[in-house]
Amino acid sequence: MRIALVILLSAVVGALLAGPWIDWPLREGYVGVVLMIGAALVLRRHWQRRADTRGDEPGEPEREVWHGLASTSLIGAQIATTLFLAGPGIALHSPQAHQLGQTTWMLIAGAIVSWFILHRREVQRDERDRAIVTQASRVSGHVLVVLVVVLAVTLGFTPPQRLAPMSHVFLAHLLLLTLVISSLVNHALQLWGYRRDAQPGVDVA
Amino acid sequence: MSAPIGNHLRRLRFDHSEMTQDALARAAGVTRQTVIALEAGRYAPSLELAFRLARVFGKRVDEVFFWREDDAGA
Repeated sequence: MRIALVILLSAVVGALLAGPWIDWPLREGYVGVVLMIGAALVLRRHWQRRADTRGDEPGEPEREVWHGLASTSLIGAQIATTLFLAGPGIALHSPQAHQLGQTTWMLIAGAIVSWFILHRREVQRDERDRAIVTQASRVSGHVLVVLVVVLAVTLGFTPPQRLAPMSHVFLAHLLLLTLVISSLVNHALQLWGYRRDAQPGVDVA
Repeated sequence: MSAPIGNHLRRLRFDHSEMTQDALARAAGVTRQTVIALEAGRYAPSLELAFRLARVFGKRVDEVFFWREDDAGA
């Protein structure tokens, strides 16, 4: 539930940054960076409070996955919304494409800065972390293969007259979105693995 | 669903001067979250980790871990 909520909230923010619905006081990319840094600071304080009071804060690897999930969802939604609004004919040197590029790169910079905010120096991964990553990577790899095959077959069987309006910028970003979806699946499955392990267990002793 | 391997880690920690989960994690070279998952019966350790945990308490592996008959299917 929490995983879906983070994906949804981040995607909504990404869509709002890409759409014309809000007149932001700054460029969309800067707004995204401010939001990401703000969220990272709030989250860092929240996890520290959980560590001090309940002792059930997520470990460093899990924190990185939460960060990856939110960042990927936000950036993916921003790209998808821009493509949807601009249409398949989006040209390389058009205002929409320039805004897409600038905003995306600013959001990537915001993701890097917020990662440093959440990152702690002592990073410890153990066999459980590696097992969770392996399991998630296997499934997300399959998802990526299916998405690429579906896209390739669809493009291959689409009549040329229907493909003609699609610019190479549009098609390139469609391919990027398959990576984004695969990455989202990867992050979500890792977090599901951590959540499963953290559930109250049976009496073992 | 719980792991088919149970353990006495929580009791052993308390028997060893109420060792904290963090101290056990450091001694065994894992994260505290993994110790929590082990104690909750949610994670079955590798053979290597099982030996490392047993060594922390000076016990044999079979004195720390046990096979849950309910899950054995036998």
